[in-house]
Amino acid sequence: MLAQLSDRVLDEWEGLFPGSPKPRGIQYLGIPGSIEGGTTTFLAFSERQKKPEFVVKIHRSPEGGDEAQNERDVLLDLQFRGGAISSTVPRVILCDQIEHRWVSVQSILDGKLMMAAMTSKGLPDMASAEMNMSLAKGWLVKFNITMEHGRSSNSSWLSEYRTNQLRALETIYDLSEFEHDYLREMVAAVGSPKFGGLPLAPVHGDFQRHNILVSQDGHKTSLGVIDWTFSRGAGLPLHDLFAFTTTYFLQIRSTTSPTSLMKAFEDTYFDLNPYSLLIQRQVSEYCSELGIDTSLAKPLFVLFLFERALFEYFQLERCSRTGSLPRFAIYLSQEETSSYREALRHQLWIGFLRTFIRQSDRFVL
Amino acid sequence: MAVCPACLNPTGRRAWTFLCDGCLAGWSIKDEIPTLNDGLVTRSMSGPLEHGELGQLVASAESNGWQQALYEYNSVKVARGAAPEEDQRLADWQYLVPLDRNTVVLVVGSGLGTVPLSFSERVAAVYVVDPVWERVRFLRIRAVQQGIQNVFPFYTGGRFNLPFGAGSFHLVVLKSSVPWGAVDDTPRNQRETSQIILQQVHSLLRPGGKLSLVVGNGLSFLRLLSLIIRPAMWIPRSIEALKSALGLGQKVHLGSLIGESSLLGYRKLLRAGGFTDLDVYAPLPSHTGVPLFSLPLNSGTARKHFFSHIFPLFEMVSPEVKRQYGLQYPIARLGVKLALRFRLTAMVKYFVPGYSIIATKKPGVGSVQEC
Repeated sequence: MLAQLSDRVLDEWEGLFPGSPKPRGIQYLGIPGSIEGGTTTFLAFSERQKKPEFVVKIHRSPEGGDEAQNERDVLLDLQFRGGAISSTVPRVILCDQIEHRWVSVQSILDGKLMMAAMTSKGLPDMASAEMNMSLAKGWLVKFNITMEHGRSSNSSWLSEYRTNQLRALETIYDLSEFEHDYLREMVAAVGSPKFGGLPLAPVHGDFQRHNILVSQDGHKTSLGVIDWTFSRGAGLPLHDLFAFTTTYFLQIRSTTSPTSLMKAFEDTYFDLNPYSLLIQRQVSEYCSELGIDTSLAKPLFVLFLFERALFEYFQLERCSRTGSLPRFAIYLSQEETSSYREALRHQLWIGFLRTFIRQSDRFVL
Repeated sequence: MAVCPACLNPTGRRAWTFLCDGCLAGWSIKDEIPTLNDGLVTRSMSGPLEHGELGQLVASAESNGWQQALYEYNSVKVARGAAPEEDQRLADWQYLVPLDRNTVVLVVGSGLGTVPLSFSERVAAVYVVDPVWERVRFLRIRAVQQGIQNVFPFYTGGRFNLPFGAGSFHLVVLKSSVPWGAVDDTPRNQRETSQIILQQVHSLLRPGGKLSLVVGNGLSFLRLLSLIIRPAMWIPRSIEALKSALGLGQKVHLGSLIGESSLLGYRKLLRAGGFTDLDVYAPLPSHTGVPLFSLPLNSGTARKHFFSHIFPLFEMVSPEVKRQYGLQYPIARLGVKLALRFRLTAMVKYFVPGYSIIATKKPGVGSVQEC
């Protein structure tokens, strides 16, 4: 497949990479990534320059077409709108089926993956956390402003959300009556006329450090954001910011156990410490810059957790159809169950959602 | 498709046996799987432990479904601190070779079925041979339960004697770590075994066909490090390896299809075996298990980019994954730092843990030169 792709790209080089000298040949460095994502990535190299020429994303499943085309459409939209954001996202060079698999060829963004540090006490280092949070928040604000003209009203959207999404969650997970009522209350809260209607927001869908590149140009620091597979034009506000703030600590913790994951989550949102106060401040500033009522933060956070729980379930379920569950999913479920079907339900995000519902009064935001 | 391994005449199915139309030799079919070792299914050659776990895998797959069986099997591994031995990423190298709906593939060593079943979606047919009964059986169960009809497993027992005619395949996939018994009754040293295996594979391929070979590196940095730390452990093996290289080695039935060698050794072996256009990759962190990266060793720019920009990403993995790699990662990190510092990245290819080599059968080459 890649040989066929190379032939095509080289044949069409002048059109695809105007102004760039055509290389003699292309070699590919494979970076499979996580199996839950459903794609595998190759960086294309030639001998003419030190950095990759382009990146190739291949959807492993024959049903990857929707995701490939969705990503293409969102990226094309961002490029079309121009402005500061367009240079921070990949350019779609090609998106097509080759040998019965959907393949997306995208440009390379400058920068290195956003790194983060821990203190000896097991909390994120505040200096790097503050810098990273500000960069992430700043980018998300620009992203929202750039896409503002695409926002839709929420009247039928919320009704459909309640019917489809909430019902899916209730079907998949065995929610208690209390959890069930709480979630319905949160959905009703975001649709409350008190807020004059909820403006929907564009969503990256996987806004975490491993998809964010940081580059330095003198004193100026810029972000680039990759992997738009799960993006959508309209979703709940604050989704991406919460994805970033929730996973930031999870990824850099030093202890190893499912309990440590829960502790990191609780330290981020239920314990008053410099890190949680930083998150509080960032969320507050973000809401202020985008005109979102800060009292919506709590219900929006609950819905973010519920969307992640659903997303995680469907990703794992897709994995299980063709092979093993990821190691992490097996690791999390081991103490709870010996059934793979139950393992799909004993994962990280439903655990966070349930923890939140139990401790919602202590939520620092 | 199948031919008699003894006389290469076509075989035909008669109820529960395959019969050769030429010499009338027959092989039984057990659980819909042709068995090639005199019709007898013997115990797993991998030893009692694996036989136990694999036996449970098969039993659970039959009664509870392959997904539940795989979950139970992998749960045991994860509980021990290891990772599942296979997932979809293991087959991602398939995008480096041309495949289409006419391609016919031979996979030597079925594993847990990930590679053959992944290929089955994109090609005409996948033939699979394995010396371990439980693995072949599990593959068959998976194929049936997943509704896959173009995967054809064969149980070979301990003998690498394949029932396929010359030029049957567009692609042969061979992982050298698959334990096998022998090619025939003659005791041979590892070098001879490797040559004969490649000779067989060469004949099975169509002209221009591809061989995908995954092998360990005899000069891997971990091997060299353990040589320094525990030299006594490696002296006997080193002597045997040297004897084998000189054709003086004890002639025994050995476990690996292709003996471990260096990069230069593999290049020489493959070229002598009638293969050309070698694309060499380093599956990292190791050629065993699921690779997180596949580094093209023929590309200097890819190598340098990998060491400068991608290798450091390992810092981002979870603590559980870091723990899984123990000392390997800090040692590799030190090696990468030194290589970058002293501009020795070109040398790294000689010391990686293993290789994934995609080689092309020379068109118009019928016979194999002696090594």
